Amino acid sequence: MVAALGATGEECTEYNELGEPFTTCFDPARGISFGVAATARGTGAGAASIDPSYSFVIRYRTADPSRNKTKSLWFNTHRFVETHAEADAAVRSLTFTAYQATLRRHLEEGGFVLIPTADPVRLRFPFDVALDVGLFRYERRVFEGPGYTVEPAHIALLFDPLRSLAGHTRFAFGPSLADELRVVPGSVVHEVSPFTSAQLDAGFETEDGWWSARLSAVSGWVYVPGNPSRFRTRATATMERVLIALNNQPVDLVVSAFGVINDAGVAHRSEWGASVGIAFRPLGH
Amino acid sequence: MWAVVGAAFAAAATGASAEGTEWEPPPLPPLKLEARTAPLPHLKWDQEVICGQFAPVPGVHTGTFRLQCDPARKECLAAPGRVLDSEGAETEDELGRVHPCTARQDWPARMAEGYRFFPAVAEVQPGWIRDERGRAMQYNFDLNRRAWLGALYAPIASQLDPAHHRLRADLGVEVEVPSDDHHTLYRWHLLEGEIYLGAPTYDATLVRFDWSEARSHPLFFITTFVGKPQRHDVNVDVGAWFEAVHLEYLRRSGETESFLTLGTAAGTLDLWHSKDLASFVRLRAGVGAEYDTFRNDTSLKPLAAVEGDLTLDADGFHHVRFQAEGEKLYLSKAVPGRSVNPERLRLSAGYEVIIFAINDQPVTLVLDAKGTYRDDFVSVGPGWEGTVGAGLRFSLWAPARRSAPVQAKQ
Repeated sequence: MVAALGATGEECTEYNELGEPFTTCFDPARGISFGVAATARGTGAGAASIDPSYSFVIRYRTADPSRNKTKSLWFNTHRFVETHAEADAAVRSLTFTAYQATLRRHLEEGGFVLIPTADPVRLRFPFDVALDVGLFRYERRVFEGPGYTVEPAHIALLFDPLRSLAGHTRFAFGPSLADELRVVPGSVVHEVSPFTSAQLDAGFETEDGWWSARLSAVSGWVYVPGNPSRFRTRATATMERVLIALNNQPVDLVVSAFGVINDAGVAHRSEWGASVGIAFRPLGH
Repeated sequence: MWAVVGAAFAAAATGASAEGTEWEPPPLPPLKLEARTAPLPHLKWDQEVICGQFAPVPGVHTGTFRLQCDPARKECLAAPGRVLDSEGAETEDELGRVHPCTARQDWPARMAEGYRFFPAVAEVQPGWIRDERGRAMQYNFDLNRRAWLGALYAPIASQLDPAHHRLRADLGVEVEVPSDDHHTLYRWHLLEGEIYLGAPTYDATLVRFDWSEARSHPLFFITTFVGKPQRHDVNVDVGAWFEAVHLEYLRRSGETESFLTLGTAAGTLDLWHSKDLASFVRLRAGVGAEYDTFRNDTSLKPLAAVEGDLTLDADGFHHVRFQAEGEKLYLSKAVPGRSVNPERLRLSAGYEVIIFAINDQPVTLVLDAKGTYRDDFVSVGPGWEGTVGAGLRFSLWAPARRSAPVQAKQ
């Protein structure tokens, strides 16, 4: 059951006329991804520019039984050193996230709420509970001038009504806590969002891993001591399709779109963008 | 566990008779259950459980039961081997948190002896309860081993700032590890933090580590000879306490201060601790190095505290924590408008109770009060501020306590 993350074994292997095997199933949440894309970015004023962008991320996922709460499973996805860079002078920028993970616990018997009265009451609770954790996100937008943004950590408590046992679908949402520093020469502005933001993490992938889609968004209020609160939103939608495989290592078509309201760069800009590209993803099966 | 029974049947079924005809297993014995009692009795965790295979009975079509028998009374408790649905019919889900059971097939003989069989609920691991459908739920939580997220309403009354309304978010990871001989308990606190909005305060600690020790021999003992001679043991249970990277950031009346404690080392003396060392009242004294991030100045910070952390019930639902800590800064640069050796007195007391659990993860109600006196703010002046908090915490992990009683609650 724990190995139910996608088709495995014989059904993922086919043979050519010479009897040589080749892999036909992939895991969208695994692999070392090297990507290149054409990215359009706009701010609503004037035409959007289209520039090359480059990305890198190490993805890994696990599904293991809980050690202290049996009859439950942990579905964990990890993303290490996720990097996105644009080199053209007009949009030169770097975004780096050291670690991001979503840790979802699934109860085989179904979720419930226990009310510890004298005669304990068990009420149905149709959600898996997940924790989304991010560590050290760095954003440097050279084209905006000096300054950079660092998010030391964020954490979100998410609830997923889909309760997927195979891990192919998720729709998790809940409150988020984030801490962020916006650094410009001579000034460090400390921003916090203490559960005053909502986070969404939705995803879908086919059993053979050829298609996958992900929507992640965070929206809510951030606070700076001595200043009024600021409402901000970030959302990114990504779709991936395995195009070919080189020596059984997938090459993906990656289409994504993003929108930011009052949160891009040290100047809290609003902007939108979209990109189309390909990514070579060794160990993605 | 039912594989044991199945294997026994399979082994028997593979044999063929000498005449070459297929051997057929004997028919399964019918199980006649007595009338249900309310509440249903539970099989006991600390007694042997027997697997029984019977002819299908209403609601239990597999006929698989878990049993405990009392030969003296010729009575057996019989619990279905699988979880039941809301209609009382067997589902495909096997029971969790049960013992391996022993296969036995002498039921026809027992029935002939006059044994009676009573409907029951299967046994369950210490720290858990099982409802009449056979579903296991955790009912004992160790809040000293958890990762938590919390949000509280925490208004403030301060002589340093006119603000009143505040919100607080807190989080942290706490781990307790006993030594092999259970005479020492090591406590780790990781990434603990509190963020206040309103009169802003950020308080975060990277790591804190301490241990308590229950010595097996007293340091010394006193014998009294008034009346019947009596021996009085004097235990001195000392431990140690360390903290690394503790940031306190505050903004009051437009002025901001930021103090980074690089490290603190202290000794502890337990005035009292529970047998499992999870609860304690102790004295703590030590010294730290504090860095003023705005003035690039490092100070020596001696501190002393009395503190307690008490778990009030066996199931870990009720907790009381309190602390009174004084600290004073030495060797710091003279700052106009501030005392030469700034000092702080921090008082806190709190109560935390589990009010419900979601998917075996406890949600607690937190009520606490804190008071602080400080004179380390330039131009704002010395003063007291007090805050009370009320809110909820969600805890991950929180396994059953090491001392979880068998059959915590039925």
